[in-house]
Amino acid sequence: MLTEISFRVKIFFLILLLIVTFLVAPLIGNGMSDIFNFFSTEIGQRIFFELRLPRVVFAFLVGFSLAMVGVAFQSLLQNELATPYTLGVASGGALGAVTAIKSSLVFTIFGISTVTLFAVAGSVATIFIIYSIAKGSARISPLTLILTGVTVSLLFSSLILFIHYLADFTETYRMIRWLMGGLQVSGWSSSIITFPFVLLSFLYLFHQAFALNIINSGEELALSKGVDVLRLQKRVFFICSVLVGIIVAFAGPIGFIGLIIPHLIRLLIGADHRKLLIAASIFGGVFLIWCDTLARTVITPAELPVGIITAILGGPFFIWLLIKQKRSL
Amino acid sequence: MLEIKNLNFSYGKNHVLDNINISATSGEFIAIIGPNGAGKSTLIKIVDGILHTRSHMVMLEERPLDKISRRDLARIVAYLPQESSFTFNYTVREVVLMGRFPYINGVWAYTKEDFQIIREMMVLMEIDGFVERSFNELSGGEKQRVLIASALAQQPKIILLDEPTSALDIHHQIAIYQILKKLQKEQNLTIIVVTHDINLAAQFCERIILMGDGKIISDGRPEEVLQFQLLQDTFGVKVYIDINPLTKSLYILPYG
Repeated sequence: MLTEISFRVKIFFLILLLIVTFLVAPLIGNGMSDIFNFFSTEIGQRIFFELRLPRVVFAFLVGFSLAMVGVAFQSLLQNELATPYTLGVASGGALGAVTAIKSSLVFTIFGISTVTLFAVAGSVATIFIIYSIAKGSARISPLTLILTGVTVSLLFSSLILFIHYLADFTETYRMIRWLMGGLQVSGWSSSIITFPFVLLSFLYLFHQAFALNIINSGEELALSKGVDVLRLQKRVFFICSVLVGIIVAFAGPIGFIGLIIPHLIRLLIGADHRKLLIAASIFGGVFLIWCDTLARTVITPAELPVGIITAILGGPFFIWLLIKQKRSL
Repeated sequence: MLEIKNLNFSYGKNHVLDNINISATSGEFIAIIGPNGAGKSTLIKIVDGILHTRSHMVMLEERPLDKISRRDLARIVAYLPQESSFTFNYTVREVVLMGRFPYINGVWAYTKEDFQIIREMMVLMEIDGFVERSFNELSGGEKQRVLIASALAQQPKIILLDEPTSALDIHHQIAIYQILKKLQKEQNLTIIVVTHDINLAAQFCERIILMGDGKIISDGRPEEVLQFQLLQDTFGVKVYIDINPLTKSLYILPYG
């Protein structure tokens, strides 16, 4: 069984995989058939350092964040189906983005598109809605939060459909393209902006890893073991939601990673969050890099939206794993 | 050790506890019995700060409950809910280790002492043979032993158990009570168990608290509490009461 190999060995291979990915993935793509000649030209160097490498780094940050938040939400909401988007933050972001596209307010400020800014605003608004519903109560039931999130998502989705209906063909295409998710960044600005949020969220969650283990058993047992449940819930929701809002604003709602990577890694290394957070986050990043590499190359010179790739690759693979393991998650 | 004075509690308008007074000393083994809805579970949840009361009606080690932080409280009181399940698969060792949470700072901060303590508790509860097994795959009796080990790893002075034997067969019921008895004697632990099994309570506990309708009906030695009229009034059924000649403890048989 894979679970009997020690955690250190698995982490070693994971980090090896990470290094190889960072070395190889940026080299794959158009015009890279002759690597040595490629680097000797100025245009080649610029493609590598200004397009490919930033994109690989950004893909890593996005995959890392989605898998990490998936792990945290699944434990906190005590629900296997929880994803980073369960609480409606992504829908809020999407509504913001779609509104920006429809209102023709598309331009860039300091290198950031207004679509991104509107998406951030939508996410923040959603966080406040969820927060004000949960605020004030002495306890937050996971089920209430999930229902609130799902309801908010449905409401926003219908508003998105409404805006779609009002939009012309060009706008509709841009909206759908945004909703499919993509990592077409140029330069480092997206990575530089998201990195502090990713780092702080990871440090906080990792520090709370032990409490995340316990809260998985429900509120009462967690309280009796000394976990300040309400404070943990509020902080994790807030920190993770802000991160998800920013990620979605830059990359669109890329699906599946936040759902399957936590389950996959849990099957491989167990449910202890001290190990799970590290392994799932790194693997989420690596997985998204490869999905994006495929998205860039599979119908070259055009590109596929990476969200399609994550779902097409992730879905069947996960079903195969479930059948193979034949054990409860 | 534990002092409950004039405790009242309600869920909204629904009055659940009415003027409860209990005082328990170290090393007592107390059973709380009573009909469904009598407020038994509510009472022990209040003692572990899971449900909140506003005033200083509960004192633990001469400190008011609401002045004790969650972590400090977890070092004094351990609690076993009626049902516990984990959404994901934890190993037996990981579940027992959760009991050390109120003592650790940071994530990889376990000391040798922590591991020494959980090893002792696993041996004591006889679960050391399957520490790497998944908690969710264990039988009801094994799960209960693992949870008790995890509670003991908190090194509490009081342990509260909410119907610990309700899902167990008679062999495991007796086994759990024998373990509790041993803990009472060897570790001078105060044990409060909410139970519907009056006969086990009468055999193992020196003190029984009978609750009905949010009030304490009777509090004392089994022979003081287990009286025909009291039980009939509280539970609304007739009972036959006798002494088991082998254990010399009281037992009751309800009949209709």
